[in-house]
Amino acid sequence: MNVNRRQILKAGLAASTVYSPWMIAKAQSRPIKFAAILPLTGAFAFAGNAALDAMRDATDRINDGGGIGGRRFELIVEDDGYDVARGTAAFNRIVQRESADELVFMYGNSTGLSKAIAPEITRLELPYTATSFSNELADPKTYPTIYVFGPTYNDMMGALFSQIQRQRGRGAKIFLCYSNSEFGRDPIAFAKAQAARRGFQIVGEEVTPLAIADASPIVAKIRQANPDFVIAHGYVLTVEPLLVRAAREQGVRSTFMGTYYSAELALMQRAGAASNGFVVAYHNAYYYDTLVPAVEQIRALRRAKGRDLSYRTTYYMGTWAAMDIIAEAMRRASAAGQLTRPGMIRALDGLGDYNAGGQARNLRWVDRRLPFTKLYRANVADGRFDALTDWIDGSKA
Amino acid sequence: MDFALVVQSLLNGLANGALYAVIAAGFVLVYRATSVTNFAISEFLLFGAYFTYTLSLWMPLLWAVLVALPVAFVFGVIIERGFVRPLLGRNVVAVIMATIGLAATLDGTALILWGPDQKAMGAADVSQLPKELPNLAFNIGQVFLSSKAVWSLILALPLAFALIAMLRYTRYGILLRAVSESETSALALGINAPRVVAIAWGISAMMAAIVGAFLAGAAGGGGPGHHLILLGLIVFPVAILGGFDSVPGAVVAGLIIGVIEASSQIFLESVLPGITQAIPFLIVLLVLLFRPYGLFGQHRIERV
Amino acid sequence: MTEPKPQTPSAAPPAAMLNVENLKVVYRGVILALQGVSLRAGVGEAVALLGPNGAGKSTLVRSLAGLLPQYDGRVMDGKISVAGQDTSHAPALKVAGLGLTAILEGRPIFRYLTVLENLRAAAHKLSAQRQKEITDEIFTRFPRIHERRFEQSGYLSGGEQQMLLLGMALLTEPKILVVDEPSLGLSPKLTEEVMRVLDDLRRDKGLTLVLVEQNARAAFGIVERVYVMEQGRVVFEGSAAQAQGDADVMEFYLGGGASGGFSEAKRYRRRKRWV
Repeated sequence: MNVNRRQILKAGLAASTVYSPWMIAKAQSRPIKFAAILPLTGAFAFAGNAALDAMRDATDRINDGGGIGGRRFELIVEDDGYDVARGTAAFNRIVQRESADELVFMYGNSTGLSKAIAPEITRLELPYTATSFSNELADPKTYPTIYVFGPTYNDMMGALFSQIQRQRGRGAKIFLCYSNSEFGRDPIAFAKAQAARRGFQIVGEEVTPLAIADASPIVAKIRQANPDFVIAHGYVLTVEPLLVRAAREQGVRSTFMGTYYSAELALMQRAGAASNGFVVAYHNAYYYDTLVPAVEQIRALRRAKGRDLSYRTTYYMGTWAAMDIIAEAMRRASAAGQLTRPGMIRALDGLGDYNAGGQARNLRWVDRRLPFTKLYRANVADGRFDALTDWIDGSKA
Repeated sequence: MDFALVVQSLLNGLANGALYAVIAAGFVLVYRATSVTNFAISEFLLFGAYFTYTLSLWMPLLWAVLVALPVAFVFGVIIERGFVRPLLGRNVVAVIMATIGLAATLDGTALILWGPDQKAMGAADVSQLPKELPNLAFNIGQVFLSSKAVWSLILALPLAFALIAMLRYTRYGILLRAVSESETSALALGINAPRVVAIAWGISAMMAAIVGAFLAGAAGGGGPGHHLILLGLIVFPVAILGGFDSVPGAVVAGLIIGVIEASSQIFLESVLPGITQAIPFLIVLLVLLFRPYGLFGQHRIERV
Repeated sequence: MTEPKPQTPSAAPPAAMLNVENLKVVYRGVILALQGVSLRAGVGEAVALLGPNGAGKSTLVRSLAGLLPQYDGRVMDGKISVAGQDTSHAPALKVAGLGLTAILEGRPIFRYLTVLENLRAAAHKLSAQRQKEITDEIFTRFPRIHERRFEQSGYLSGGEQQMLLLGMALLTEPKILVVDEPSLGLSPKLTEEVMRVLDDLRRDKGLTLVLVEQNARAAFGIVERVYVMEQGRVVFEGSAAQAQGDADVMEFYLGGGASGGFSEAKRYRRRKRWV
């Protein structure tokens, strides 16, 4: 990814910035606004900057196409450095500054931040999604305006478990390794319940920090437990590569599995040959899936704008998909003459078979999430993830 | 208790502790020379890792690790000249705040220079697999030593011992200890104290660089990135256990904490989940309560 | 009762190794510690700088060594020249490079270093060969230092520390040696020994010696000329004999009693003169 350096400077180092696309607003109409709080600095800067890149592209695409019902689409971005306190402050700044009839969507990031601002979002009736796939956010009774644009971590676990069922059946031995964070712990209770229900055996469980210096002690325990499957969750390719490499070095033959944030090519880059066969859950398209219409749209736009055509990460793809869905909902709300916060909720709920250029199976929400995911397997020789399954409904797992 | 597992945890701990020892030794060196607690030590790790990464795009990884050392040395000297020297003689709080500010500045600089993407050693883009150091992993029966562990033990740890020997026996080591005791007296004897101090910062950055390279996956997966800053925090418990102003103390403490961490991960974690993360800080608490000068801290000479 | 003659001309040798003219020094920008001091010392000459606590002697030493910045001090006016070069604002390293070595007050050895390490630190710019020659000479002059060479120097006695310091100074191969209060805290016998060593060194090496002392009697034996300072000024300048013969100097500044020392000087009378 080639993020414009000035962009980082502006967005990351200066506290906030308002991105104004190269477009003159029609004098008579007010802009429609979309706010994002992204981790442009700190431990998740790689994801935040990829998301910003996608948002910038998506904004250009919307405005080049005439905006939303003639209204200019305006992107507001604040950096929170993956810090809940900073994110909450940014959130408060944005909602106080912007008027309710202009700001109709908010895009947040971590599970922690999302939970912290969820009550306020509910009070403001502000449609919201985040880069977190926490199970707790997909709860329309408590948070009627929060959407998860993909499966929850539980759904991903469910999909992995159904694969385990296919490959090994009852009695499969599973080793769980997860980070000591909201993100890491989110699906663990579900995973244990699922394992019990399906007759799997949890032969080991390891809680670690988000970053570790050495995976050898964990691998020593994996060797002792001798599991069929090792599931790593709650990391951002800081632990998985160490784990799988040390495990392969030490002769561990188990199948390694991971969730959305492990599904990036950096896994193979970092772990090398050891990552071959690593199974991940992922629900958007990869940039190299040229048959997917969304990928062609992205390439066309970037070509037209003279932007770098090299590989875009999964974090980019996910954000692009979300932006596509949000823009479609805005268009429909605008067509219905209801481009307001409640209007957005109705439009999002009614998207039905829209598939975001092939980046989603459909948009039939189940508890405000899209429970479908595919499983992919790392193919180091090709440097790609090969699809292992078709769509799996994680909610039915 | 499984004997092989005990030996295993001991060896893993020593190998990982070797990295702690090296970075803490460099950190303590700077503290000794200038009484500055370098809160930007984690960023030294980060920069060292990125230097190695950049060089690894052009040369074999082993060469990159080695060439990164002088690069990091120069980086350390520049930091000393630019950020630290103008502040010497100011009060402690000002200097501490400055190094915290330096940490933030370096974070941002790294982001601008190398971008936010997840990188891997020797891989310029996603189509490439990482470069690796030759695989030196081996096992004796049930006991297994990973390639990263072997490399840490043969490449990083000797650096720590070399630093101790240098401080003890070489002329520069004596001058550094002299300057650390009294810069004024040293100057009165015509000792070039500013240069001695700058070299200390250079060495500290160099030690951080090799540790950064290993933690960022020079052998054993992973890559340079912001998570190194979290890993760098271990330097504080290690330095405190070692006595904060003792380089040999830092080395011994690094090895001890490495072994304790590995053992805790293997034997305690299943009983008390999360304990391993807490252990270095429990050690700090105990040290501060019962032995504030750590294992090897200087006792005051009271005779005059 | 004759007034002390503040700037009596005296027969200083023509080649001035050290020359201080009308030096004014302030600390922290406000405290005027030297109020126009002039002093000179010729090649191979020994001069003593006497005066009570707080007279500004140590400030003068710091100024000579270029160490004022370490004490938040600054030369405000006047001029210092060492071996003909202006060093009024020169950093310590430059002054040391010109051959001026100062032994500061308070026995500034490196206490956590061994005796031998202290010597090695001082010999930082010598070749191994030269270092060995001088170290051997030091060990011959100070057998005690040789005996205790592997011990941490902080545990040496006061006299031994003073000897070590002189050894360290020798290893810098100085042309000018400035020694601040070598007798402090030493017994009369040890003081006498230190003075004898200083005298020997000066003669053997052809050093210019500036001896800063409160103990005037100890100093008189080994110096040619004497400066007396009080409250940041030089109040007397003359030969050692003149000073000893001057009742006023002896009584008011150097303590009239046979034992010498400022503690016995008649403070009340001294004070009167400057109020």
